[in-house]
Amino acid sequence: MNLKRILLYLRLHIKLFSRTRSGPFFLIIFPVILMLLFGSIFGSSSIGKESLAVQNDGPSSAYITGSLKAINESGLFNVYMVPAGQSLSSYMKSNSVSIGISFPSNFSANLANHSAGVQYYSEPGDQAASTYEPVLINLILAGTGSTSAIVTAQPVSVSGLGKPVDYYIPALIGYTIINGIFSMVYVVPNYRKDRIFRQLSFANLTKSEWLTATTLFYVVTTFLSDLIIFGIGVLVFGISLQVTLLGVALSAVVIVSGLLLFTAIGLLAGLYTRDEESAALAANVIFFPMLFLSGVFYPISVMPGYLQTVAYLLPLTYFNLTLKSILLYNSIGPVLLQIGLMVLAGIVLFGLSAYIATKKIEG
Amino acid sequence: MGEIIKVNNLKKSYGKLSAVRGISFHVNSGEVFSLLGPNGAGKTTTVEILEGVRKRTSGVVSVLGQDPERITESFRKRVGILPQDFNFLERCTANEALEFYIGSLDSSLKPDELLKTVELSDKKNVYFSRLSGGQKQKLGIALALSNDPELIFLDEPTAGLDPLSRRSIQEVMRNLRSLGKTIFLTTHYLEEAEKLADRVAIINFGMIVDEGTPEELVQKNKTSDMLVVTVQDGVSLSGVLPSLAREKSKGVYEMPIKSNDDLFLVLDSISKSRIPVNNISLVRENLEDVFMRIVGAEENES
Repeated sequence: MNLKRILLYLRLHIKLFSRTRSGPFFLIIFPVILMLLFGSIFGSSSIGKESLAVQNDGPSSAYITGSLKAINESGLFNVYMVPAGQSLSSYMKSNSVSIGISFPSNFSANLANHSAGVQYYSEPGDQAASTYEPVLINLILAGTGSTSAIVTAQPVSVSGLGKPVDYYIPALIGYTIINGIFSMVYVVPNYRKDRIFRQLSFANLTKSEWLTATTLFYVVTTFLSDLIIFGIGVLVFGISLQVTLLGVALSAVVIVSGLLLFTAIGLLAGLYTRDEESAALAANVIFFPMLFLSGVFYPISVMPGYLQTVAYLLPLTYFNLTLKSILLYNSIGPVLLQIGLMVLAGIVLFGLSAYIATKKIEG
Repeated sequence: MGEIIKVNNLKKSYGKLSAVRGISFHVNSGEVFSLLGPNGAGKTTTVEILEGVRKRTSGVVSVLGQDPERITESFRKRVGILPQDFNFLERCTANEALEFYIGSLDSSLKPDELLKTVELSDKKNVYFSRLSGGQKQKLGIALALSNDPELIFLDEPTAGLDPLSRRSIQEVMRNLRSLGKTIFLTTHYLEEAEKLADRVAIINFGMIVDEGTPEELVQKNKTSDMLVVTVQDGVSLSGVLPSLAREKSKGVYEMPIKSNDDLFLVLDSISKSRIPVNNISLVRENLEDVFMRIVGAEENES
């Protein structure tokens, strides 16, 4: 391997990249958009109120008044009263209200006999709505004074971080790592079709040197994207991760290992597909399930059991969990072994894909 | 002149298909050697084996004293290659491509010198994708020259180009020849080989069917020259030279001429007949005629 040739190709690659339309977009603009979107949605420390439709089919009573007072004072809901006799479902549909409760006409009388119930309205598939059900029951019980139910009005942050957007930083970094798949998957079939590898070999650039220069380029650009994400997070949304210098260094190791691993996956996908179109298809087949099942945007804990099993088979899951552990909880000791395994996996798979590339690519 | 390329009984098969079937030839230092043949004859397979891009099935090959299957960095620094269907990175300018090649091959040449050699100075900052077909080939030649090589492989350098671009590339090749470079040229354009090559090998169905200077090949394989006589309307030459003259089209007669004696005899007969003649021309056989005859005969046999 010749360092001079690697640097010469890296310089040329940077120039060519700067001239593509999609390159600078995905390097700079996309992370900016991503961070601005997540920052805007999750950048506030207070949680938005949920709309709640309430209907009382019976006479007004101290129990009903107390229940409504408890619901209002929880600060979790914007309450909309629906007149008795009107269809609560119709009201919710026409006003886009996702949860509702109905006090039956005999509610107050039954409460005295300890057999009262309320009707809860929500879509069965609406997971957010279903989480409010026990909260509301507790509030009603507290409001009627029937029991000493405890209601947590505001969630307590486990990490001690101030804003939900902080929680998404490791996930966004995970997203930049997994992009390594796409970086390679298009290049290889394209270069093979145009016989660019052969042409580069005439300049004495070996395939190993080409791969080193290209991977180096992805490492640099990924760090740049991650810096942009951090920069906007800090400057615009005031994120405050409790991370040490050791944490930063270990995060960098995790990012590089991830890039090696996912670049290798992209390289293999590119090597074993006939053209750019089928390579893109292969990359998307790998990329999207990983993006949605590895806890990048949705917590693994909310998934059904069988999907959680799938999630723990995906390599990106471990990169996300490790980055969360380091960046959110400053918990390094328990993930050291995991980091070691990720480094090993990155090096082994990258080495294997590089070996196959040197054998399969002509020139 | 030393032999810079030596090929002995070279064979290359792709599965059951034999692309090259035991060819032998040599190329001398400083000469332009052309491998001439129709499409699919085995030219590119042969040249790619010599360049070290492709592995041979059997035979002995030596290029600049090295086996091209065991390429070293020094081999690449001594050899320049313009491959068939040359292509490069789309958004790379001509100047940047040359800077990369020169730097990578540790050459002391300057991009401007090379661009001037191939008459592409005015396109130095133009992206590769925006160059015309002929300009792309010129850049390919410039890249092949960027290490100031002893030996240059030019594989079909003018294929698919318009006549103007082809002529321009041929001019560049003529300049290279005058610089004393050894050039290995593959082409299926016969006039290109005839104009540029010192020696030609005709390859067909993976075998070399003839080899020599263009003149030698013509002399060796020609049947006869042809005297073409065009007479005025209503006049016939058939009565004057009944055994020789063949009417090719109305008023145009062809007569095979094997020697100067034949020529004088025919001209004398025409002169004595006082037949009004519009035009007389002697058409000599060239490499194309010879090539067509050799390759055509091979194809008929197969």
